[in-house]
Amino acid sequence: MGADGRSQVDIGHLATLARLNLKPEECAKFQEQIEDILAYVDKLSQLNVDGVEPMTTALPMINVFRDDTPHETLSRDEAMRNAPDKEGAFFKVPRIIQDGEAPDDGEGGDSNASK
Amino acid sequence: MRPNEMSARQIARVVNRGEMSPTEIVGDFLKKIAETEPEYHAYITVTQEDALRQAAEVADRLVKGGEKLPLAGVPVAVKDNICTKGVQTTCGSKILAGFVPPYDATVVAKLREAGAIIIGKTNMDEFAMGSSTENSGYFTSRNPYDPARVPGGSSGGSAVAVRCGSAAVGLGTETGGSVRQPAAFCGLVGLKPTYGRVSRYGVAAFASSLDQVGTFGRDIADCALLSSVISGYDANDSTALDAPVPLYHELLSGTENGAGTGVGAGTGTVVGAGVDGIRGLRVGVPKEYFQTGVEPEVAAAVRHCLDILSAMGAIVEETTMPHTEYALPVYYVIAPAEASSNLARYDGVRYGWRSGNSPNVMEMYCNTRDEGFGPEVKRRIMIGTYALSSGYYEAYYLRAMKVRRLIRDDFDAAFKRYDVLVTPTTTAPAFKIGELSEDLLAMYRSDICTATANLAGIPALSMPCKFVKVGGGRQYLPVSVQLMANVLREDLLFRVGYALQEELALPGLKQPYTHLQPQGDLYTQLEGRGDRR
Repeated sequence: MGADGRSQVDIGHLATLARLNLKPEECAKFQEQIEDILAYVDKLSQLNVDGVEPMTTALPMINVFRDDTPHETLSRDEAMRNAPDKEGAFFKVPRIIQDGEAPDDGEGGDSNASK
Repeated sequence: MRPNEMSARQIARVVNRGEMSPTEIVGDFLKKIAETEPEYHAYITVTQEDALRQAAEVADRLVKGGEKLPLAGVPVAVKDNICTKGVQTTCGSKILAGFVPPYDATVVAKLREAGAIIIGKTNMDEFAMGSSTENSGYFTSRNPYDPARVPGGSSGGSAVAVRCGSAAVGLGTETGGSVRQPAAFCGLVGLKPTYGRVSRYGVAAFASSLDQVGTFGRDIADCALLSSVISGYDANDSTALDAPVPLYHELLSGTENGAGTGVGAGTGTVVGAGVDGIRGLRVGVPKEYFQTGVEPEVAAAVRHCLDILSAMGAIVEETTMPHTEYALPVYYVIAPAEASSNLARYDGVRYGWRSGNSPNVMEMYCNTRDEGFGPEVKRRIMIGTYALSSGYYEAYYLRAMKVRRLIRDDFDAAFKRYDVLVTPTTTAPAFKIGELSEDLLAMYRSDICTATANLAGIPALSMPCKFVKVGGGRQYLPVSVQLMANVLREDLLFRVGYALQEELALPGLKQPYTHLQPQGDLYTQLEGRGDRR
């Protein structure tokens, strides 16, 4: 919180978590807008919600299982037709492990930073 | 009468009887698209050749099968976040430009089964985030009553198509009002069904605990017919409810020959409302919805609807739903939180846009998403990421889910006492293009009367109830009333809506309208110098 009670957002960190490579000139405006919206939703802190059961879905839901029987699915070709890059039966992406580097989990080292 | 001027029911009737071929119908609608698109921009993709092929298939089925199809030859506008096999589906986003789904959404499969023709994919705010189509990655659609104004959103393109008559009926999607608000701005009937009433298989997810496919029609019976066709259980969607689907349109008496036949109109009787009628109906009017900054003329139009229902024998009472004012803050935590998770899939690997020349996969993800998403989508992803991140989860997301429960409790209490709740749909008629685009929170407040139904999971219907004069000039714009009912009581919404529609008897709504067409001179009709219905 800032001195005025507004939440202050570390926009660079947030963009990294959201996997957005924001341009430097976009950052200040996004930060201000996001702080405005957080100030608006802060109205929720006025309410006492002690003992209220969180509502996680619109209607009571039960898990659904289907029978474990084979059925027709998309062919591999159909499923891969929209891929921006592929090689044979594989989606092709830029290098994940750099030369001489230990294998990385691809999460940029902050995989515990969000729930 | 040109086919594009007919109701969906009339089209299905003449096609089933063999009086017109699906190809003739589709040909006329394609002509109408060519006439209206340059001005109003409803469609991202028009399925010209594919629509004619579908028409031939329907004709074939009618000849061979001898069966009657509920939407035989009816051209339907489908929002571009609903998958159509072999037809580009963009979600209004550059990140999905050129994406061609390998399968049909369940709702699209149901439309095809019913004999409908998918005539095009309609414009929308990117990933359904917005209230005007101004957040589309492609262009802004125009309101057929005034092209300087927005059609509403996010399902704005489908609303424009149905109002112009470049489709007979349309599909949209709802997360916080994205069918009802554009329906209100374009003078249409729009339904947000009960959560789970309609399958979402093949519908791009925005906020999964709120999303639902909704319907547009130029009158209650068309909206009811389309809703019956797309509703029902689906093994491919674990949230789809396994409950019988009433034929909603058949609950409305006097609609067989195309509605608007005057049955029940002006008599003060309950003929139009079907078996249960309006007499004795318990109507609640939650006062908080009238404390939202609603314009006096809109409030007066809604009060007029209440007077009509009263005169027909309904018991109308003011009530209170004390947590209504928290609905938007809850919505703007929950929807972005779920969106930040759902939109993680757009990473440039399996489909959609990929940024070139990234040195490694992490850079590729971040560049792809920065280039592919527009500003509103980025904002909401970041808000959602923030609300879910360590240290903030309890203050934002968990708290929002608890307040959501309190909002649902308000509805539970209300539905113990009332059959339907009546409110405005929007606080004002359609705003001008650019009017709110620099004021995020003002744009967000577009959902102030509608987001509650999504949070509670209940069905809600919007229908036009008055034309109001704007700008002191010759211009009229529609405003709407919203009806809400308990879970799976869409039947009640259609019956009450039908009774209101027939009593209100507003001119011109059942036909296509664009501001340029001479036969749609609303001013003449509303000033009482003509009586064309």
